[in-house]
Amino acid sequence: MPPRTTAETVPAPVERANGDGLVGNKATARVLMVLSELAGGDASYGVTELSRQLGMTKNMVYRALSTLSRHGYVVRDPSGARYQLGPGVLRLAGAGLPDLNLPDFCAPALRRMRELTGETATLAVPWGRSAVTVGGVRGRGVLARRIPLGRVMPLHISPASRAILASFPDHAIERYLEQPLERFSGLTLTTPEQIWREVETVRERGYATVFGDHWRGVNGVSFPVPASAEYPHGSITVGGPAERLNDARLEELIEELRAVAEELAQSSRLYPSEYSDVAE
Amino acid sequence: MASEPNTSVDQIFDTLHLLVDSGQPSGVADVARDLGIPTSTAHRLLATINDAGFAVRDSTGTKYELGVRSHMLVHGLFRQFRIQPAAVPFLARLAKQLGETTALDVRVGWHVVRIAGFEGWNEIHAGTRIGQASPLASTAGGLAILAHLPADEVEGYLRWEGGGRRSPSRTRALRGRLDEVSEAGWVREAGEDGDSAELAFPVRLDGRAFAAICVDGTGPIVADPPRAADVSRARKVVEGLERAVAQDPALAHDPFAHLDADEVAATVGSPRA
Repeated sequence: MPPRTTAETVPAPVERANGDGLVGNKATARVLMVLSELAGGDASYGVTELSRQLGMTKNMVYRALSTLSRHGYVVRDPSGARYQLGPGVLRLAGAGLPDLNLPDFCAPALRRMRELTGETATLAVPWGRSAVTVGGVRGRGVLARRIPLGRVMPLHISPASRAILASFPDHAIERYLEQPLERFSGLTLTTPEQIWREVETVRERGYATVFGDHWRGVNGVSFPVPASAEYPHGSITVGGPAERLNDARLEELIEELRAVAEELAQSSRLYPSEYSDVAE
Repeated sequence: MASEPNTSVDQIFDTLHLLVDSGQPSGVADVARDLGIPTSTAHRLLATINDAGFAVRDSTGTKYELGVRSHMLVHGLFRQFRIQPAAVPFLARLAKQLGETTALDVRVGWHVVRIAGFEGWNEIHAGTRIGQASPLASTAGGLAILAHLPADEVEGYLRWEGGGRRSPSRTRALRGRLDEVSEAGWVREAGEDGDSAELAFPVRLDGRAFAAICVDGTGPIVADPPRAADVSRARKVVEGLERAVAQDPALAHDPFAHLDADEVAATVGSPRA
């Protein structure tokens, strides 16, 4: 069986404080805490800032960094005053990343979103000038949004599409807007100015919402699934009957949903998207 | 706790490296045997690494493999090479033009490391093999870089490769090969499987290579000799990336330029790896 990686495997950050309660001895726990912090993606790290962030004394941080340095996992940066990841980390690269199968990869996040809301959660990916629904889990109620497997929607219609479009680089959005925009309902955004305003809103909030531009009586919210560069993998959407999933309920849920999406994003950003061009 | 031996901090690294090298999920008994440590210690090591997210239980729930945080660490290392995100659109364009898998290789000490890739559009295509590290002279990407480095650095590479001993015949052979590569502007190497091959182009700033773009597959671009029309299409894409680097030289940033190449190489692996 090929190795699997799912969003369920993203752990919570190692607990703060001095390592009490972790299995193994304290020095080991501290080394792993510092290493976790270094996985955050900054260019370099200072001892003082690490000690503040981890709630450890500078001396503890310094000792952990010495251990990591002995194994080449960190090196001093060119200034000599700060630390950066070292070539020793390449020892962990040898196995390569587990293969990415996007529906499997997103399945735990979709299930968690359904647990939080009771509603249908779906996954869509970009293809040419459209977004295609490629998977999902059905909501629990008698009435639930269906999973429109294989449905193709223009990138400016439906929140699933707009969460994807808003994650495109600006030049690709410009190219998308060069062609006429289809209208699905009286509320569909069809001018470049409207789309750009919506793109800004989605980028600012981190999610796209429904406003009757497509189906009536459906409410929902879509989060981008970002990739390592340029284009996103797709988007995940929670949607259901508007009377049940009303604005007040969505507002109640949004932070928890955002946390699920952000956790998925941490690992989805390790992989490049297969998408590369709106001109497909 | 007092009756139990302390877990040596260094065993954390041994355990992680074992998970990488074994090529399949490892259980407590595997780790205990391979590291020569008591089962209780192996259990504690794996649990600690698992709690911190650097390892994760596999689908059977009894064995462990590398976890997301380990992969994030590798990704963080790759991100220190600013060329990585900048190169992806070029890799994508090339992969679509040729149908073959494309990749970005950079130099780390005396090794070449694959830090980005874009899978080919052909139904059957090569994998990206991101994370693979090899001595510079052993892959197409590495040779493309080595052929566009100053002579004293090639000399340094040869010293490292020979383990301090100089072999005049090896030196002559490699220099001859590098001259050919530098003249052609590309290099082709047959793959280990015998079916696929790789073609690599240097990515240069001011004449010096700091990365290579590779095409990996079975099509005409990697035939022996490669189809000229495909080579010139690929070259145009690489030149596009070089222009972007000329405009923003920070993209050529080598995060390990301030370190001794021999010391970096010792961390990454031996010349025979």
